Amino acid sequence: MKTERCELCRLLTRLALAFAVPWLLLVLLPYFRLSGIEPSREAALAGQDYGPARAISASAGEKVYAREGCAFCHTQMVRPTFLGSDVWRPGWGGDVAANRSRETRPEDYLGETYAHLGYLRVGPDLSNFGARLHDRAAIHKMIYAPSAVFQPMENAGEQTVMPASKHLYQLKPVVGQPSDNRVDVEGVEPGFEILPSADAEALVDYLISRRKDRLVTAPKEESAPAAPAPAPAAAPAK
Amino acid sequence: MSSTSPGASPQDMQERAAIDRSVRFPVMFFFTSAAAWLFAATILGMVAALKLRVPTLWDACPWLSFGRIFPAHMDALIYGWAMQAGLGIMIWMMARLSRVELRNATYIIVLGHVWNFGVALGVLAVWSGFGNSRTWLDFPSMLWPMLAATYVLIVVTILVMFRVRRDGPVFISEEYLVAAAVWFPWVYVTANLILGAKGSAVMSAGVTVWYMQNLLYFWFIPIAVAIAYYIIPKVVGRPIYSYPLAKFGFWTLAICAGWMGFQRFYGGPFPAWMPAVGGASTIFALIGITAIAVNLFYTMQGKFSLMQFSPSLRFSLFGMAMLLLFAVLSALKSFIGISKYLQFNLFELGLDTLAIYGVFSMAAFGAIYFIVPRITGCEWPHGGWIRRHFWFSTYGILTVLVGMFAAGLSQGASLDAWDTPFEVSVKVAKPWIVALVLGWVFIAFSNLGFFWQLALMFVGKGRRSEGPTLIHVAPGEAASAEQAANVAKGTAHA
Repeated sequence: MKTERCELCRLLTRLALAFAVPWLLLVLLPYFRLSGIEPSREAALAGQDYGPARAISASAGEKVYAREGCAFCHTQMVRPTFLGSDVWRPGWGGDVAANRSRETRPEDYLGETYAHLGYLRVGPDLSNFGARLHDRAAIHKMIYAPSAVFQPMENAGEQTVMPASKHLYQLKPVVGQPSDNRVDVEGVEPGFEILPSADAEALVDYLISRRKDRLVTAPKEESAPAAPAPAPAAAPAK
Repeated sequence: MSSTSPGASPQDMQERAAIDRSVRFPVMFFFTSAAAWLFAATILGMVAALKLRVPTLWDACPWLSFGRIFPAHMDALIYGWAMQAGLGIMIWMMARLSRVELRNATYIIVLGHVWNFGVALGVLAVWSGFGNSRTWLDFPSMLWPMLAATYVLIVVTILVMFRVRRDGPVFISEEYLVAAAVWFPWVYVTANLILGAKGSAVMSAGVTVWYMQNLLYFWFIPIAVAIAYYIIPKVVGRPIYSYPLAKFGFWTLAICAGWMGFQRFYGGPFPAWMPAVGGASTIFALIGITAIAVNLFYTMQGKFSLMQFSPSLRFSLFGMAMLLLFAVLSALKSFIGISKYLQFNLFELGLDTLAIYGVFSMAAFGAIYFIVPRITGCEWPHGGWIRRHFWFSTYGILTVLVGMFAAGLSQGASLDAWDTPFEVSVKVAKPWIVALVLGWVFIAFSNLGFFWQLALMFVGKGRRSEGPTLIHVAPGEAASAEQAANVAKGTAHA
């Protein structure tokens, strides 16, 4: 038996001390605190109970979004004004017309299993995609053939960098009338149509459900614009 | 056995040879399988970069879309190449520094196979569409307990070697290795448990970036620094300049590392102090890294010409130079006014690549060039290939870094102008993505020679010779970099 403490124990104790502090204060405590948050009282009063986001985000659509790696190029996080102009970018911070454009807050992600805050912003932020676009056909076309949607745009250069997710769609022969939900792209063989799979529909559901501009507690002096709150109560639903 | 330290007694040399023999098979196993993963990762990286630039290429194949191939590339690079190379280096260095022979080589090789199997499953899963978009933690959730357990079981042998070490002062590299050994499972298990618990969605995202930054700052960087603190004094033939300074650097990093990560989500849905503390500790960590750099600089002072000849020294010193660059850039990025432009854009990718390839991998190559001749008993076949490996890796990583920095700045500036359409930010960044492609082409090319030489060494077909393989020196001409430098000086005078 050695009388003095072993080098390994001494080193490990010190390392554990150095690391346990941030581990507790930065990870564990905030985790439990943030797991217990509730939608703000104002949102509840205005009848905005985060219903759509809660129902759809943990669903099949989120799985498709995650497995195809959408989150490597698209963020879902709107930064406050001291960190850039996300909030002023049309549609990014939410419904500008209703004066609801704002940065994202912890309550916005309630009901999701994982907040896809993102890694790069090679594509636009999707926090409030549902406030910008509801047209399912247009979204399907964007997912199936992004270059067909973005190429004609004046500023997009020769083409977008968004990959086409053709494997989420099926080429099927037309039976009777063309289907209503076919993807409207050029160059499909006559007698055939491109139909979204269940995964593609789920992904579109998920994208349309992206809204993070519900009412939250506002500081006193800024509470004036929030006064007509009850009026747009029905608006965010698609 | 090649290069002997001056003044080593015959008993010393016998003892070292016995230690080298005892770790030979597990360490070579880790190095060769790491190299195979590096090959896979570079190919995946090339394709990922190409797909980011030209997304319509082969777009009928979902396996090749950026969203799948990029995470597969990162996972192969981190868990396949970097972690295995790191484990091999840890085992050898700990055995040598503790002067203990490894008694359970077979056990480690079996665990090594399990690790490879787990990583292969994970990468295939991500690639074939079972990933989950969690940066660096995107293996399917059933895999992490297996990987964590395998890692812990391997690392226990390293800790045991340290525990039974021969009495004497603890060398700074040993502290770094112990820290890296225990830090990873702690962070990895915490992150995965929180992700699995499905509590707070934002904290799940937060813990992912916390894990990323801790992996960089307290796994990759400590091992790279341990390599530098080991190899530089060995090759230069003098002790570390200041031991207290080395300790200071170590503890600064240890205290800062755990707080980092959330600064990647500046302005995110967290209490504002969390990203702020992350940014502040990244800036403070720069102090520790500067201490390391100063210490190594003074250890090297007057001997920089040796870099021309010794491959190990050249690679590990380059890694340390990149470490300083990485720490400075990370600290700069932690200032809110700068982060505003650099957050969430390609610069982030450039910085991560710099840490994994420029800092860790370069230092690891240095260690591998040092270790493999000692454990296989033969010398690297061609100094020229080592030189090419170094230069093309350097071109590669610098191309990636400069390209991504430029892309990030142009993207950031264009994004900050709110009335400029978003598409413009893609358009201005797009030309720079070519640098990412080119960088990975350089890196892939540079590593071909490395793979070939490592394969030759593995099957025992290395050069049998008295002298070590040096750069710019014909085989057998000099017994050490020191001697080569003296010879060079002599010819210059003549």
